Amino acid sequence: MVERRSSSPSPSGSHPVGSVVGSVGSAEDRLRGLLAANRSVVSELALPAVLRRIVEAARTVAGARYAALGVIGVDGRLEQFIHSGMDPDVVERIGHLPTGRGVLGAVIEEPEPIRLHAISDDPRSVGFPAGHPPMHGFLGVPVRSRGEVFGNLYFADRLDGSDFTSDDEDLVVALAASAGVAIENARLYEESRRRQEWLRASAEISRDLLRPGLGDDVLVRIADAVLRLADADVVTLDFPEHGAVVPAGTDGPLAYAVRLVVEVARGLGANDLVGTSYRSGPSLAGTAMRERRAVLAETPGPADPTLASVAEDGSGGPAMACPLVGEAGVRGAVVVARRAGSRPFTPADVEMAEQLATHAALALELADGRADEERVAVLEDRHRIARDLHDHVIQRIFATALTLQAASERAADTAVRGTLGRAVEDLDETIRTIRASIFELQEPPSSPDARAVLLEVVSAATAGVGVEPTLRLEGPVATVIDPVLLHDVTAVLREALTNVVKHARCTAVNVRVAVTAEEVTVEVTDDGPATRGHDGGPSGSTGSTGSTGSTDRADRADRADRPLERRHRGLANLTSRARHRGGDCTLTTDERETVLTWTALLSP
Amino acid sequence: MDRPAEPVTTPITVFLLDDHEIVRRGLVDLLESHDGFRVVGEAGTAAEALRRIPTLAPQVALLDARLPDGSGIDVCRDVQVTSPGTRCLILTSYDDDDALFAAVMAGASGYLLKQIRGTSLTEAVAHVAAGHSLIDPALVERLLERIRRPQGDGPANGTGTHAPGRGGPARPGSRTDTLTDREQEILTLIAEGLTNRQIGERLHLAEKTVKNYVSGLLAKLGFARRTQAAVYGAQHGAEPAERGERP
Repeated sequence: MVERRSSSPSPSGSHPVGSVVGSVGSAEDRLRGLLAANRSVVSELALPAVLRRIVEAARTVAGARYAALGVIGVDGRLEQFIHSGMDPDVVERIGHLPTGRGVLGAVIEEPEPIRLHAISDDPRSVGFPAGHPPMHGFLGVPVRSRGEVFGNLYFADRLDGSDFTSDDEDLVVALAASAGVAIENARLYEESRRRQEWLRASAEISRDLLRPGLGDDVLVRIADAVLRLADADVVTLDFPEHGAVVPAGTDGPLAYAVRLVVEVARGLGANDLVGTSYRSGPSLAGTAMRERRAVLAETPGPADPTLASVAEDGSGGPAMACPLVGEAGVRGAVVVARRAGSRPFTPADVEMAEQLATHAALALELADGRADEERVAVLEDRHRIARDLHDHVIQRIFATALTLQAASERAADTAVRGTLGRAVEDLDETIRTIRASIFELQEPPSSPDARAVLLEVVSAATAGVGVEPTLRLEGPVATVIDPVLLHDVTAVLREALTNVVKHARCTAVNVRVAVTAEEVTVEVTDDGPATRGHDGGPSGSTGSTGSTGSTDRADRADRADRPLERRHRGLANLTSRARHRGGDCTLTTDERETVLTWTALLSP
Repeated sequence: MDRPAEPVTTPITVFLLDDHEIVRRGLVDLLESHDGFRVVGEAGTAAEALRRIPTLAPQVALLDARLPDGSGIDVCRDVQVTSPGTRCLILTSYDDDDALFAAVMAGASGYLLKQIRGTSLTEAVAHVAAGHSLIDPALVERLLERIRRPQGDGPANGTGTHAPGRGGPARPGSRTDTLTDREQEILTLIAEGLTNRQIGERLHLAEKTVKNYVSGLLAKLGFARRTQAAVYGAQHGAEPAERGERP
């Protein structure tokens, strides 16, 4: 459209910038044109539109056929190339935009205006790619913004076919100054807009944090916000394996060896990233965690899986990692990356990611607090149940049993006595069971208390075999069984229960641990049939690897069938443990049950 | 721990302290079905028992370890001073370990679990009335040893188990409930069966001070967790076992 009007004369007065294209015009017209161009350039706020306007306005002011703005990237090449005056078909035919070599590169290397009669005559020229229209006259001036060279304005072919003049150069340099200001404004505007967006995201996350029951969703939301606000391609939240915390001031091999796991991932390849574990040592996340500060990398190594996912041909894009600093230490890191070849993260990006990392750390601390609260609630509930069992249930059962016992003692009829006696027995057993429940309800699972340890051993040894064990403790077990003896007793229980589970086809196992001031007795009774194995051993055999006080044990052992023998082999070990403590170990079996009895004397 | 045997008069006079009326009724039922026993008084609270026992001077007092307004342990220690002729048995529905600890701390002649079989209630009462102790000195020795064992698994349990969340703060499993020298000293005297007054004379302390030490010891050694602490927890909405503070 602009091209079509290229030959129309330039009317004077205030008119659209575009209408001066096609003539170079008088000095006064050109100044007016420059003013209009300035207005046009500074009236836009969004950076891409600003850049576009600069190119259009510059072409008009210079009276050139072709104009372009090359934005210089971190690598010193042209990161963007906004051009005007070239037919779209031609642009497509050429295929790629200039990267900043040849004459274009000369202005990058030395940011001073360059004016040429013919591009091809210049020794720095590298020629044009195929399909590129011929260009002759050339003018290039740098555009500075915030004291740095932002890019260059390039012009080719004055409309009237003559060379670019020094007037042209002056006008374009003047426009470049306004362009620099416009670019700075646009950047500030963009930054403030992002800051606003970031504040909004922060406020949203803060609200989420205060809403209970969101769980890990908060972390996902934070990752999403970072992804969006940092204009990143992938964001992950990485944490040390097994929930370790890198305590404050930890350095050296220990912190270096910690492995990190990606627990939350958003963006490119997010699904594959979740669950990936890696060595924290050489990674960006590890460095951020050790140094407790945000770390930037422009071309990071492959240590972080997050970065590997956006890498191309082995070279990563820009990346940063921020530590998640909690009360007890560094809990993890946020890793943010852009695709290879993207522009690097700005200080504003880092600041934003750091703030959101703080939010994430806070979310974790709050979640911990909630979990603690829930645990306390559960504990309180368990205590309440235990209290109720103790205060109401046991007392009533005990009272009833007392009354029954009294009645039984008064009863003349022996049959009635027997019945009442059995009822009392049952009630006693119930009290014992409830007492065990109260203990379980009140004792934390990993308590070093001998009672708790025994409970744990018994339930662990019979877990998943469909046998419900009962454990009866008699006497002050925790008082009498010291850690050394406890070691023996648990070993005995494990061995005995493993044997029962493996070899006896039983449905019930009763464990009794009884202590007196002199000795400890462990009794494991199962209802497995006495006849074991295919060869059908005799019933009613008594086996013992011990021989003390037994005249016929060897004889009986001979008659024992094979599975029982196998059990005996395990027994040898138990017996030596018992003997060591002046006790013994016996195994008796009949049609109904098999009983392993292990005794040990207490050390004086 | 046996005291000089006193002539056992029949029937043996018994006082019952239990906040559950139904339990007291059961105990009366059982004791009075035997010729040798007579229940001379009952109470449902520690205060009432402390008021009545000195006047009734029963041969044996059966004291529930846990009471709404205190503990049978404190009552027992008071009774030893106010009614020296009365032998005490601690009655509890917790297990042997806690019961043994309670009885030793109370300076009682023994403990009875709230169950019928096992130690016969009537035999125990008769045995205690004759001036014997039901507590094996060897067990007391083990109990003290267990309490003093630095990292041992005494009744005190200050270990806060903290499930490792994602990088959640891991609390060190520290035991802060170690006894001071003075507490150790008092504990030893308690185990020897000395009354609060005797301990006070021995250590030049007021009887009331000794009493405070005993309460502190009970709380510190975690007896609180299973007994008074249940009440404490209900009143304060906190988990007292983790605090080791006196109710």
